[in-house]
Amino acid sequence: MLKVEHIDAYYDKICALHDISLEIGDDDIISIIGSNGAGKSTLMNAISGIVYGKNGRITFNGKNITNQKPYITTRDGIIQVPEGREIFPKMTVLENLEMGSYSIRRTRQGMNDKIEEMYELFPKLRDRKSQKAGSLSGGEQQMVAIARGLMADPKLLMLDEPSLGLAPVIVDDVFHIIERVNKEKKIPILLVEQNAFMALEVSSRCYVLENGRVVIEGSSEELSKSDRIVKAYLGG
Amino acid sequence: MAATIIQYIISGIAIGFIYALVGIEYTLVWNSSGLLNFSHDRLITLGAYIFAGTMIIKLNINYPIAIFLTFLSMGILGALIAQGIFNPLRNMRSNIFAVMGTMLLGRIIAELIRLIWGPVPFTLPGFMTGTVSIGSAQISKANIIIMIVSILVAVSLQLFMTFTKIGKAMRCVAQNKRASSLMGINVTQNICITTGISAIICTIIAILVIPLFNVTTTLAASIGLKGFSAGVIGGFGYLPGAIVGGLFIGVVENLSVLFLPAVYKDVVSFVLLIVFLVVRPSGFLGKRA
Ligand SMILES: Nc1ncnc2c1ncn2[C@@H]1O[C@H](COP(=O)(O)OP(=O)(O)O)[C@@H](O)[C@H]1O
Ligand SMILES: [Mg+2]
Repeated sequence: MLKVEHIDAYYDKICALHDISLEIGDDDIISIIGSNGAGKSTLMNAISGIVYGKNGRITFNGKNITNQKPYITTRDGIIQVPEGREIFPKMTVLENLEMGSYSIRRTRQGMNDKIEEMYELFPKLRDRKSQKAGSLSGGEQQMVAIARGLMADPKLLMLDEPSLGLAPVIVDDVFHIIERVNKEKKIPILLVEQNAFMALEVSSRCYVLENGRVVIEGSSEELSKSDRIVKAYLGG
Repeated sequence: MAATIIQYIISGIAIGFIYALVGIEYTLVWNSSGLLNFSHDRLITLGAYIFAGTMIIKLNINYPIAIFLTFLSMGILGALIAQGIFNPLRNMRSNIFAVMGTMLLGRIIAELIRLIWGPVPFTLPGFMTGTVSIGSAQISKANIIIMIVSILVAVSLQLFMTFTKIGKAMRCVAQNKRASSLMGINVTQNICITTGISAIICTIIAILVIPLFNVTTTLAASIGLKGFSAGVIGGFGYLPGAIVGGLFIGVVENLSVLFLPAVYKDVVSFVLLIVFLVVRPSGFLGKRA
């Protein structure tokens, strides 16, 4: 459904992505791993249209979305949950969820049902719904960010380091949710992670990014056994 | 004596509401685009000239339609300014570009006003004149209208920002533009809408102060600065803060006449501003500077 072909991206003259190609199928969880500064967020932002890609092409269900304005990409159903959550801190949890649905028309009832669905997925958010999102813990904020993304009925959900800065128990929760979202709601997911262990466990395919290039790609199962990955990313 | 004090307080509250509206008008633009609009006092002046000079005196249109047409033209002008100046400038490397841009825009508007309507001040005879006596205090109708309209503006803006889709999007854009665009919000368009609303509030201010200051090229010079002080004293970037700050300045400067020669009245708000900048830069309601 999403096809990235030979994309380069620059910050001024500095090349952050070099000849990147990847593909995501209809029910996949695809992961992208790589160390800090490898270009993972830049890749997501190139897909979202926040960073301009040079050369190459990005297509989504056949539509050319290369360098399309981010708000249009969102309206096309590609939803990014950005690194560092970027929730709206001065708005309540409920308002944050509602803003997630900005790109689609919902009736009052439809909105309530969708929010109810989020509370079932993230029961903690129900208790926190009237609280300012900025006052929540890191884990809860990540829940808000993912739920806010799901409120847009994504055709493709892109998660940028959802485990960043979370306690290990919470990380487990987050990954369970990611798997559930993919299985139950049939939403394909592009998962960017530094936590290679978790990423390889939940994804079917994995791309390894180093210095803006894809250096390895393959089935996650095989990669988690490969010497190179174990050494560099799994602390083996 | 008591009646005099009450009169001072009431006219202080009225002019305080004007400062509050100015505070709200530029805070909206600041929150939305991250820019201080240094041309805002000229926009207020322009609104007064379009309304009084063109709509009423030249075209002789009746008041409600004249008000509507002035709102419309100023709203569109605000949106165009955002599209043509704020949106390109807010992404520049240094804020200096934006500061210069809005200052020059102010100069251009001022010159246009002189060219189109001429330098001679004029007035709208009979517009919002007269007084009402409450007990032994005499209160001008203009002050009563100012208070009622300002409260209506503040309340409707609050409702708009809380309950409408565009208003909520405005609050998102103020907090995080990147996240807003990821929600599907067209950020540049939203900044245009916000600036248009701000320009309409400028017009409301303009119409309200015509009975106080007449229509002159310096109509908004003092309220422009005091409205800025109102925002700082109330808590910069926070809309309710502008109201608190505006009312505070209005009442204090009016009461100062009881202790100081009247010529010092205008200085009071600037002394207050400097005191707040030094002692409590976050203002009454602000959490941090
Ligand atoms: N806004 C930016 N301006 C300039 N350089 C940037 C910017 N964002 C990221 N970079 C650089 O691009 C490279 C890739 O960054 P990023 O995509 O954020 O990596 P990752 O998400 O894998 O940690 C890094 O070298 C980083 O310093
Ligand atoms: Mg990153």
